Amino acid sequence: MDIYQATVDYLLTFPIFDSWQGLRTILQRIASSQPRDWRLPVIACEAVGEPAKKGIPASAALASALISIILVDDLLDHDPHGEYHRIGSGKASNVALAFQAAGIDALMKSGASPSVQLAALNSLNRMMLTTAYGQELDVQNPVDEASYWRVVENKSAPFYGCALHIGALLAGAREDTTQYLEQLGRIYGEMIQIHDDLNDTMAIPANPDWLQKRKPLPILFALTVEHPDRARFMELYEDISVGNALQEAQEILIRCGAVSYCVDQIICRHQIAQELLNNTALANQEIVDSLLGGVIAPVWKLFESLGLSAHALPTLTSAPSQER
Amino acid sequence: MNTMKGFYASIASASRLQGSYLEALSEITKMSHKQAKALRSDQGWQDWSQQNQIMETLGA
Repeated sequence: MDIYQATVDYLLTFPIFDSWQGLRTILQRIASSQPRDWRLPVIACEAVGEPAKKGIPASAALASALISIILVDDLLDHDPHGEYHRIGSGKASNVALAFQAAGIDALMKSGASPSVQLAALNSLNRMMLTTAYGQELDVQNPVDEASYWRVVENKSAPFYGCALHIGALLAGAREDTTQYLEQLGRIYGEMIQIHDDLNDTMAIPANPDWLQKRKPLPILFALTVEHPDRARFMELYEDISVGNALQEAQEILIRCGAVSYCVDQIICRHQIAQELLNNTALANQEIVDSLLGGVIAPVWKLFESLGLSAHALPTLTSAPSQER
Repeated sequence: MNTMKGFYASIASASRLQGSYLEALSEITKMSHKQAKALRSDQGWQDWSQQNQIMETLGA
């Protein structure tokens, strides 16, 4: 089953996509890049033993919500690639509102029982509200470790928690299972956020995070911890565009332990998620295991590239076998 | 989970803990910038930048 085509086909049955060409174009353009997050509700559906097609309305709801969130995120972050550069801020905001509403419509037309629909709508709405609060916190640029994790808890984790939650709800899963999958999704979302921060921080040329003096996790670590290169890092951070500043700053991130810290945070969350998974009965546990394996795989590859075997990691002896 | 300062203190003393998990994390601090670049493109970190992927699609 082509989840992306099925999701687009489902949404295109809504009359608004006939009337509004711009909305349809954006939806189809994004679907063509096959965003992996769209698959999450279907994965939850299959995890509880139901066919993928039952999760398509949830994927459509999540896809719509994601487009809405990204359109606004681009505006808040002044992202140079943002759609608002092409169509203007007002129109981008309006399109974001339309997709948010389309997400609600996707659940309303799912054909699920009224109680399941209500639970799914509640989950989606709670996620959108919390994410908006997380965006507000993020705009304020976290100044310390506690405020960074508060942003992640509100901005990143709810989306992934909701993704698995609504998929499981539409599959008709028991309440304890849907709650467990939501919890697992939240942990997964935190891992994704740390990956994203690492990737953006180590990007060449300098990512907007550097240029806008934002504080993704590795940069926050290097600014917070009292390591020997801290003063120099602060100087480089103030003007990252000068000469070789980016490379020198990235080398400090590696040397001071910022990258190691991010890796540790990913591994800790992977272990928590794995324990959750092992203590919950799912009809198809392998599909969730594979999801977690995918997000931890770059870490194991990193260890391998540095010549570190699983045997050198006594607390993680079973983990590399989960790689997919 | 470790706080940043707690983690830093732990890996700073990790050389005394041969073969340990912390020593492995400490090894990452010795990685070259070239290896870090490869880490992005070859080890799959870039794959996980889902939001970037979508932003580029939106802004295409």
